[in-house]
Amino acid sequence: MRTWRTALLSACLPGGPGRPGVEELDLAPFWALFDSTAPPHLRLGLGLGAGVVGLLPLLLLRPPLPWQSAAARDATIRKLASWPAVGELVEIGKVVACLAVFHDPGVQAAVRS
Amino acid sequence: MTWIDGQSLREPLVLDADVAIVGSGPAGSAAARELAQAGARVVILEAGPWLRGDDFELSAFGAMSASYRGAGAAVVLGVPPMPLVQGRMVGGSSPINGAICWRMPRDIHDEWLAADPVLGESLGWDAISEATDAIEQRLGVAPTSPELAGRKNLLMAKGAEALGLEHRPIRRNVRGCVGSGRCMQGCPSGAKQSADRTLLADALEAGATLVSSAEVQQITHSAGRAVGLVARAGARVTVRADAVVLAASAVQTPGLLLANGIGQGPVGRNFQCHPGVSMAGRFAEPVRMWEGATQGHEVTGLRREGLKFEALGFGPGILAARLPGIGGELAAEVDRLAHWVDWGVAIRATARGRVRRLFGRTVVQFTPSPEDVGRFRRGLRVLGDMLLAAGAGLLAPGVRGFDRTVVDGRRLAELESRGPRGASAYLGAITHLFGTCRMGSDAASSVVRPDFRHHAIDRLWVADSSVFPTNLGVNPQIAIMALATICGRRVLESER
Repeated sequence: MRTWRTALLSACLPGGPGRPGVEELDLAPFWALFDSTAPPHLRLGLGLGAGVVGLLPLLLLRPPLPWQSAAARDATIRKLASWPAVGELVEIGKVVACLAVFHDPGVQAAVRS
Repeated sequence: MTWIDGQSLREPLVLDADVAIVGSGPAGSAAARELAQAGARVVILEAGPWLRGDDFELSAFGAMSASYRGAGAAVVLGVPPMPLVQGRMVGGSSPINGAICWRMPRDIHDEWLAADPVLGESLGWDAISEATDAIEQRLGVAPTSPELAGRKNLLMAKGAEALGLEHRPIRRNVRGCVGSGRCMQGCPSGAKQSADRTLLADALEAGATLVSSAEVQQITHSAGRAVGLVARAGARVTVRADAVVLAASAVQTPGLLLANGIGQGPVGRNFQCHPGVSMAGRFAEPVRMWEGATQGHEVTGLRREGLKFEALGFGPGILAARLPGIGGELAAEVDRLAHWVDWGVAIRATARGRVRRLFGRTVVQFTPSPEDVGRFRRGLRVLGDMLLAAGAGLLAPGVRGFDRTVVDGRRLAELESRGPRGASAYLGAITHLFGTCRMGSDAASSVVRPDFRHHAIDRLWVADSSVFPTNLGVNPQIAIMALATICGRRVLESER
């Protein structure tokens, strides 16, 4: 499940110059907190988003999100974000991605320095 | 001081009190202070933990997980479902609010008395003013200094001035603030004079007992008279009391009444609030929104139109989630995070919602009215105009079905005049909750009497903003404290 969630988060907010991407961070502390404190609707929304957004590329004759390259993920997520209903799931992924990345002490320190 | 961490209890606890209070937020703390300083034996039961200083994390998600209801992701059921921002800790929401202080507006008080003149017997303007003066002095309320404001606040002043809108530095309850910009995550330096550090501290100093992490389940009542409370903690907590004061918020107080089958009057109905939307703007120079006073400047010129504008301040993670785009486009903006600010408008909503019990849980139903959506559009236009006037080159309205980014005032005017009509297009959040146990002289249309006493259950009072007949249109913590202080006096008078 974490592979799919991480793929969604990584697609929503890839790394940038001087800012690591989701896959380069140790998200274990974030997931532990998220799984124990986030309300059920948010966990459900993220889980659903990871599954739906992860598998929908099959309809576009592309591999599932976790198996796409960074460039392909970017094209996929932009496309899916504009789809009715799916866009809401992408939005949840975006919010959680931002919270997860900036939960990392190193990222926090870098942006505040 | 007597503080019991309810989570650590392994054996049932029974306490005796003159007055048992549910909730330690601004209302519960103010009522407790008034009662304890007059010599009453007071026990306060608080559902959340006691967090201080180092407990407040730098990570926004870490902080929200520890101190917000539902980790900050609690939602109101409606169209659209909107986040409902509430603290859940000792001090209620006051340790994680923006420290904004407003006296009760005279025009709102006039509205209340015009609708029900009997309210004036208990809530005279002089009594409110006197209580407010004392509270403001205790909390160190003062305008934000320019040295502490940070760029985001100074830019709002510049934008408002250019548009000819009345504006001012926000009056805040802080002492020794260093501008760490973390009010909404809990003040790491203890500078914010939240209810737990002031009014509650006074109550404990005067002999009150606080049990934290103890969620009240039951209002014990017998023969039409409240006689105590039962709470769930590490072990069962029972308080036997001569009087019970509910101060758990305009959501939890009616929820508790309904859960206990106390359905007097319109309990849970008339839910009112201040939904807010925001406009993000990007400047050529770094602004570093997370620095300076969290919320240090406001625009008050359109308050009577139901619009109040505030510079916002929160951690980088929350700001990043507010930026436009997805994927590489979002990443590019996140890499310019220091250049972005987010300013908000809180509207005095005309819509009414409802708190009810569903499947054993307390839920809130609320959908903004068409008039409220009109205020969203107007507010966003004004925010955009101010940002442009302050020098922003790119705006992100955050409105579904409208331009993702805007660069000129013409499109802002079109947003106001022709923007989406449906509330679900607007990304907002709900704060400041009122009205669900409204005060009034008529038992059919109100839950408590003008002296805060419950209409149906003797020795039961409600002290929080659920008694407010309407929303205020301004930040309510000081008005809540003032009215709860008066409630405490009424309880004392009834004891004599």
